[in-house]
Amino acid sequence: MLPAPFLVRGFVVRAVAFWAFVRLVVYAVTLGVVSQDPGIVDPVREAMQLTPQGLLAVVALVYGLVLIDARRRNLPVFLANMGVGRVAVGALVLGPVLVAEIIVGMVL
Amino acid sequence: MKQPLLAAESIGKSFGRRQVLRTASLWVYPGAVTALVGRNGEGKSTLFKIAAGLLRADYGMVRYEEHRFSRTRLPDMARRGLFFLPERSLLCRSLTLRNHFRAIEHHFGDRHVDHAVDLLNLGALIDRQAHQLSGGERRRAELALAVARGPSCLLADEPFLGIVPRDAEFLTVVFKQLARDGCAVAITGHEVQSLFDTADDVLWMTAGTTHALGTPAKARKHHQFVREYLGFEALR
Repeated sequence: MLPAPFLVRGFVVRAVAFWAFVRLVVYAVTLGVVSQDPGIVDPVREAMQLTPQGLLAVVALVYGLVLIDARRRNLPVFLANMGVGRVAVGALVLGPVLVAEIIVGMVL
Repeated sequence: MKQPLLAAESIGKSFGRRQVLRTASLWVYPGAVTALVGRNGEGKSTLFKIAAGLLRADYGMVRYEEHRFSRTRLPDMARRGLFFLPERSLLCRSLTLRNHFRAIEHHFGDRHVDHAVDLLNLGALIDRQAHQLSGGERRRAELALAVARGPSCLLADEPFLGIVPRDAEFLTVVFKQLARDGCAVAITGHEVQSLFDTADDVLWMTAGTTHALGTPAKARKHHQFVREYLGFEALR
């Protein structure tokens, strides 16, 4: 069961914002590493690509950040009283993150 | 013999080496208010959280209507009609009261929302965010959300904590009205006067177990309860 539409919007916006932040950090760190390798022709493109394990780590990190933020705003018990559990919140995080990753993959 | 809507029976729970609950039970009956009293740290909130599905019991069983659970989860219980008011605030800091009610409307319809706002006199506060409310206003708002939900069972953990007598009166009236409408209500706390004014049944929690004392009048005559919890001053 999903929460009310305005709460869904809030979760999606936060998931995308946290994803952008995590991706930016990962990109900056990876770019710093791959730039040192003279064999890599396009370090920017290389730094934007994630391995499956990397993608899993990004999703887990974003999910963790969204949950911490929800707890800070005192949302979990309120949502649970509405019948909304962690699975629904997970779907609200996973969906936007996967869409964003697909878009990044298409652009690259 | 009347059947409880919610029954948590023979519940045990330890935190590390400390066993808080040994054989604690909670029975909440439709159309009645049950007060769970006991000293600090006896495990009243723990028992409520286990019954509501926020904590996992080490052993014991929870029954809601005809369904038996060895492990409850609040979202599942909420869909069946339970509403849990935690000791800490239920309200989300960044949302206005109006948005809290919108969320209730989205899930459970708007049948009781206007009634809840009027009953708890929240008209003037509806566009305030949770962090702009005083303690008493927050408690009234939380109870209004419970009324708006129209629950079949309400568990309220320390609802009278830190609020002025006038707000406590408000809460007492609303708990009684919910019970009159058929809701099964359970409350905890230390504010004996308010709790006993509200309750139909009293449960006493001590040494990790619970004792059913009957009506508040009977509880006041229970010698061990008076000696160990109320104190003899309460009888003068």
